[in-house]
Amino acid sequence: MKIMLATDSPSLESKISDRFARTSYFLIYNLENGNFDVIDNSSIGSHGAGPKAVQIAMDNDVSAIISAIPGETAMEAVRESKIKVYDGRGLSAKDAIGKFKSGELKEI
Amino acid sequence: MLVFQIAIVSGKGGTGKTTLSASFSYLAKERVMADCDVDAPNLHIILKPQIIERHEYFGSKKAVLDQEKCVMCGVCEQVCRFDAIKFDSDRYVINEYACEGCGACTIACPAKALQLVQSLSGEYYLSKTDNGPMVHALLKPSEETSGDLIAEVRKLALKVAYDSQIPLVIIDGAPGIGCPATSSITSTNYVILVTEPTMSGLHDLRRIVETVRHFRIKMGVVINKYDINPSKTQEIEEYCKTEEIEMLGKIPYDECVKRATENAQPVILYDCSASEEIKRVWENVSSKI
Repeated sequence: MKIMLATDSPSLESKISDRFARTSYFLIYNLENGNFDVIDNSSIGSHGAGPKAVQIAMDNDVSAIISAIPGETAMEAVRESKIKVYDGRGLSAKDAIGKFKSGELKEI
Repeated sequence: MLVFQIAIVSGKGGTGKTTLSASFSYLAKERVMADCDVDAPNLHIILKPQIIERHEYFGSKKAVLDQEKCVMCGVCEQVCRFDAIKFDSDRYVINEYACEGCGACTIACPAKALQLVQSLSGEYYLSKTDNGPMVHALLKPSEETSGDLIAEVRKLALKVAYDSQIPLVIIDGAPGIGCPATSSITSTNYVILVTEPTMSGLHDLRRIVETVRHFRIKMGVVINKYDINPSKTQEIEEYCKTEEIEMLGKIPYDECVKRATENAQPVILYDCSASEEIKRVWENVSSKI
């Protein structure tokens, strides 16, 4: 199972970003083996960033997203998918993954 | 240190966001100002920032035609839905203001003479003002990339706040309820909604409240020029009560606001009833920080 984290920098030490679709990076984290891929999100573009970011999640086959509260158009796209979004505000990516595993994160 | 971010928005334009923001920028002890109305910014008129750093903003992509490769077939002109490509005397020319960067021409061109290229959509600036840093921007005409540029403005404002140990960012938000307004309020700690006692003021207030609720941010309402329409003011107050939204204050119509605006100065530098109420609103807001 893979999850996607919206982060300020490309590492597990990074803070979860204040923004979902306009975050600097996405980490695609594999819960089975602890490996992760980094997606540079700097060119998300000017229009429709929300749905585009959800598309990135779909393309990477993730089951969950950990981020700040996504905007309305992003949430519309999320509701059309099977992906769940969890509130990771104020956490580091590492801590967010830990809390996700133990079921402590709140679903948005 | 944690930085507290306050956004001032309204839904409807022209209710007094910038008037309030300018006064708050003087009332706050330490603050970074962020003018997030990047389409038509005005805060700089009052705060008179001196630019320290200038950043280029590449937001959108535009089609660029390589005249060397062009075979003059005209397919690009046919597929362009925005009438952005026209034949001009001896060659095809792209009107950059009309181009939306959809890329249809780049796919249709048999000679591969067209390409989408990142284009300069605007600039954003770090400046200094009399009482603290300010981040502001200017979008080029015809660009529609403001949500993204606002994100850049806010990132820089937050960075400046952390670097200079300033615990407060005040965001003069974008009007409307869409992308720019959303980008102005997301992940803030408190939202001030400025409305006026008119039908459209209340209508747009209801809509922006929905947007703020979506992000689960605390908010309070200020009614500007409340005494020009007492029954509408009452209606707004009842609405806020029903929706359990805090009333931060009611600013009277006051000639001194007009004078302050004409002189490009913040209202609170004047001794008048509007100025007194703005100070009370700020006290109210400061208690949330």
